Amino acid sequence: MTMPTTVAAPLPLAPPSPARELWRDFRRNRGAVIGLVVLGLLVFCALFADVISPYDPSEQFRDAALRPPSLAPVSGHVFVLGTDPVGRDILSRLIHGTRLSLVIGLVSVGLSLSAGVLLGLVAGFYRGRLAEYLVMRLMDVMLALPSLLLAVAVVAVLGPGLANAMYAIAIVMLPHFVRLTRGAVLGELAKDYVQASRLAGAGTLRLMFDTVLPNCAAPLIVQATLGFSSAILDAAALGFLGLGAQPPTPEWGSMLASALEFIQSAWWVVTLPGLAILVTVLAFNLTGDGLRDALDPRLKR
Amino acid sequence: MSDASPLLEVDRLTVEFPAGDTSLVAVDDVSFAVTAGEVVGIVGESGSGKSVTALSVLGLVDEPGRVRAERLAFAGRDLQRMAARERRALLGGEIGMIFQDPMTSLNPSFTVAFQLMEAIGLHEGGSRRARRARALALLKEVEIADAERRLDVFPHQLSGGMSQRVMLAMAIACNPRLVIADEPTTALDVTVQAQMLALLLRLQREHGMALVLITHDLGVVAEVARRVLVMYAGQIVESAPAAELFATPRHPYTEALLASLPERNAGNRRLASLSGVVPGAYDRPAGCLLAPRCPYVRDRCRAARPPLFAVGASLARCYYPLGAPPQP
Amino acid sequence: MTTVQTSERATPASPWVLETHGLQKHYAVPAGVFGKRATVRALEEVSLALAPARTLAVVGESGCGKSTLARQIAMLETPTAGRVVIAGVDATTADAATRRALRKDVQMVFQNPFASLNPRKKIGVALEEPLAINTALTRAERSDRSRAMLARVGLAAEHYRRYPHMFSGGQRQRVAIARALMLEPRLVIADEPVSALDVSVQAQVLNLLMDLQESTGVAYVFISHNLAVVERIADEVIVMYLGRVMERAPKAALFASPRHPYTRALLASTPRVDAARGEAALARAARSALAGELPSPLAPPSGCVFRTRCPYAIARCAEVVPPLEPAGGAHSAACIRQAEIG
Repeated sequence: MTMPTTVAAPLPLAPPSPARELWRDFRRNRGAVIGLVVLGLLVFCALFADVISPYDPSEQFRDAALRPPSLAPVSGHVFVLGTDPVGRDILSRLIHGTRLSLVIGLVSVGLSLSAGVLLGLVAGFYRGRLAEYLVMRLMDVMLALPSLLLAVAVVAVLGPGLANAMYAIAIVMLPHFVRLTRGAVLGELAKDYVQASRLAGAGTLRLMFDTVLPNCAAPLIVQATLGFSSAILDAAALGFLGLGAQPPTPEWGSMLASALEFIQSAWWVVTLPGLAILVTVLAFNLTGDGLRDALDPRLKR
Repeated sequence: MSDASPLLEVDRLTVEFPAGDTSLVAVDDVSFAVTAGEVVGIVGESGSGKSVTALSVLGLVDEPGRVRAERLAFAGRDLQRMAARERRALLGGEIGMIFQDPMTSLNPSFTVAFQLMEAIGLHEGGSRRARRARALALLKEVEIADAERRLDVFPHQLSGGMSQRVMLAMAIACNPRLVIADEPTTALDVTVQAQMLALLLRLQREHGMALVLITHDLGVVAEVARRVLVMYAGQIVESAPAAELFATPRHPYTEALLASLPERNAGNRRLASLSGVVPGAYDRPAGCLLAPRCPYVRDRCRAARPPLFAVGASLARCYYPLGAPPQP
Repeated sequence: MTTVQTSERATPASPWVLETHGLQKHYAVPAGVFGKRATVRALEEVSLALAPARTLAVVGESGCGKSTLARQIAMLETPTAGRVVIAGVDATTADAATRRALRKDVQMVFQNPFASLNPRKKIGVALEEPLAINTALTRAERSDRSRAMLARVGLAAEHYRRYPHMFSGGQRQRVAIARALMLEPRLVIADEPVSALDVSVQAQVLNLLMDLQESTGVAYVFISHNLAVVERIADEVIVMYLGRVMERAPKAALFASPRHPYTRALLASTPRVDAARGEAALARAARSALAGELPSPLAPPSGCVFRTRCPYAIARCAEVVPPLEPAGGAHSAACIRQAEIG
C-alpha cells in the first residue's frame, strides 16, 4: 500500500457553481419564483414606462375626470383603469409609479446597506473598543424611536420631497443592517480562515472586505430584499402624510393620500394604487423569503 | 458465540436517505446480535454507517431516512412492530445511550439534577426526594467528586469529562440491560478517556449490562471489546473476537486500518496508508465496495458484491480473505 | 515543478529557526457580576528552541496552553512577557515592518479542516492570496506556483477552480498545508492537523507532512494530544500542563524513559491495540494514573501545578515551582522528585 501522487476525488462531473446551486434551491420554492416573475414584470414596467403607458401621467383630461375603469372609449380615449379627480389616466400613473417605487427601494436600501455594512464592519472588527461602543449606542438610540416618527422627523428637518423621503427611510433602516453585519462579522471572526488570512499578511482593510464580508453576504442579501418592501411601504406612508412625493409625481402612496375622500364614490382612485403597493411588497417578500431559504442551508456547510 | 438467546437482534438492517435522484445507502444489509452482558465494539471511519446503525436500532432515525430490516428485536420483542410509546419506554429504560459530544448532549438550560431526575421520573417514578437521592447515588457511582454540589450546576459549568460522566449516569439511571455508546470518549482528553473507559467497564460488569461501543479508535476497542465488527461504507466487512481481529485480520480493510496505526509502523519512517476515499452517494461500486482501493483486488471483486464468509473464528466479506483459501 | 528551497533566502543570523525565552501569556477576563477582573494564566515560563528541518511536538491535554503557544509564535498575539525569536530576529520587540517581513517565515495549519478555508474563495484563489499580498509576482506566475503546490500535496489540477465545500476533510487539510507553504516559510505550526481526520486519512496527511519536510527543509511545531502520532513525526517533544513545560526530551528518550509523572500518566492512558491489557489492568492503570480534575487556570495550584493530581506529590511540591532540570543529555523534567521516581 503506497501513497499515490494524486488522491482521486469523487466529485460530480461538473460541480455546479454556487450561483447555479442557489438558483436550483431557489426554484424549488414556487412562491419565490412567482415573486421573482412579478418583480421582473415590475422592472419591465419601470424601464419601459414611457413606451408602454398609454398616456402621459401628468396629462389632464378635464372632460374625463373621475371616470370608472372601462374599455369603452370616453371622448376618444380609453382609460382602462379609469381617471383620477383631475382627469389623469390611472393606468399610466401606476406604470410610472413603478419606476418611482423601484427607485425608492433601490436608493434607500442601497444607501442604508452601504452605510450599514461599513459601520457594522467597524463595530465587529474593533470590538471592545471605543469605535464599537459609539456605533452601537448610536444604533440603540435610533432603534428606540418608532421608525415612522423618526422618518417624519428627518423629513421635517430636511423638507418634504421624494429625495428627502428616501434619505429618511435609509436612516431608519440603518440600525438593522449595522446589527446584522456586526453579528455576522463576529461569527466569522471566530473562524480559523480569518486567522489564516492574517497569517498570510492581510491587513485590516483586506480582511474586512475581501475575507470576511463575502461570507456575511447571505443574511444581508435577504435583509436587503425585505428592506425593499419596507422602503416602499414607508415611502407610501410618508407620501400619505404629504411628506414624501409631491404632486403631480405619480407615487403610489401620495396617489392614495390625495384621493381618500373618494373612497366611497370612486373606489378605483384609492384601491388601485393600494393594490399596486400590495402586489409589489408581496413580490419582494416572497422573493426575499425564497432567497433566505435557498441560502440558509448552505450557510451551515 | 454464546448460545443464550440474544438480547439484541439486528437482521438485514438497511437505512437509506434520499439524495437528489438517487439515495444514500447509509447502512447496507447489516446483521449482528448482542447477548446479555457482552461487550461488542463497532469500528469504522466516517461514512461507515456505524452511528446510523445505532440510531436506527433505537428508532431515532428521522424522516427522510428510511429504515428497513428483516428483524429488529430486543429481548425477543419486535422493535419494528412495537407502538411508538412502548419503544420510547424502552429507550432510557432498558436501553441506554451515550452520545459523543457531552457539550451538546446535555440540555444547557437545566441543571444536572433536573435532567437526571427527569430521566429517573420517566421510567421509575417516585417522589421528588427519592429521585433526588437516586440522582445523587448515580453521580457517586460514576465517580463524580463533590457530587452533592455538582447536582445543582448547569452543564456549561462542567468539564468535558464531567459532562460525559453525567451522560453515563443518565444512561444507567434505570439499570438498562443494554447500553449503546457512540464515540463516548472521542471528545475527551487521553487521561480522562482512560478513566471513562475503566468506569464503563466496571459498571458494565457490576450491572451485567451489554455494551455496544461504537468508535473509530481501534485502541479503545482493543482494550474493551470482546467481539468486534468492522464497518465500511455501510456494510459489515469483518466480524471477529477481538484478539483474533487484531492478530489476524481477514479483510483487507481491517488490515489497512491496523497497518495505518502509528504504533504499527514502528520501523518505518512513513505510515502505510490506503489510497483513495470512501465511496459517497454517487459512486457506489457495483462490486465489492472496497474494490477501487483494495491492494488485492481481482476481477471477481469488481463484478459482484461478496457476502460474509466464515473464515476460522471470523466472518469476512471478501472473496479472497487474508490468510485463507479463496471463497467459492 | 518549482522546487522550493529555503536556502534561497539569506542565511539566518542564528542556527535556530525558532526560540522562545520565558514566554508568558496572561488574559484578563471579567469574572463576577461587578466586573471583577481575573487573570487566566495561559502560559508561564515556556522556553524552547527548534532547529531547521526538525519537528518539535507540543503535547498536552485541553487547557495546557498549546494553542496559546501557537498563537504567540505565529505572532497573532503579543506575549505578556518573554521573547519569541524567529530566525534570529526578535519578533516581540520588532516594529511593524519587521513583523510583516517575518510573517513569511511562520505559517500555520489549523485543526478544523472545515473552518480553515474561506468558503467563498476557490482554493486556487486562496492559495494565491499569500503571494498576492507579499510578493510582486504577476498573475501568471502566482497561478503557476499555486498549481505546482497543489500538485505537490497530491491534488489534481482540476481542483484549482473548486470551492472548499466540495472537498473531504483530508483534502482540505492538504489545501491548508499547501497554503501554508506558499510563502516558503522556515517554520510551520501545525495545530492538531490530523485530529479531526479519520485514521486512514491521518496516515496520508502525516506522510505528506514528512515528505514536505524532507524536500523543503521546513521546521514544524507539531501540536497534538495524540501520543501515537507524536511518536511518528516528532524529533523532540515537550509536554505541557496548565501552561507550563513539564518535560522536554528527544522523542526516543521521552517514550523510552519518561521522567515526569504527568508524562507517565499520558503514556499509560493512551489506548494501544497491541498492548491491550484487559479490564482489570485497565482499571488499575486508570486508578493509578491520575486522580481529580484539571485545576482552573484562573487559580493554578501553588508550587508545582501538577501536584493536585500527582501520585508522587509531597509537601514540598506545594512550596516551590520546580524548574526544568536536566535528567541526562537533552532530556529535562520539571519535577523535584524525578531522580527518586524510578
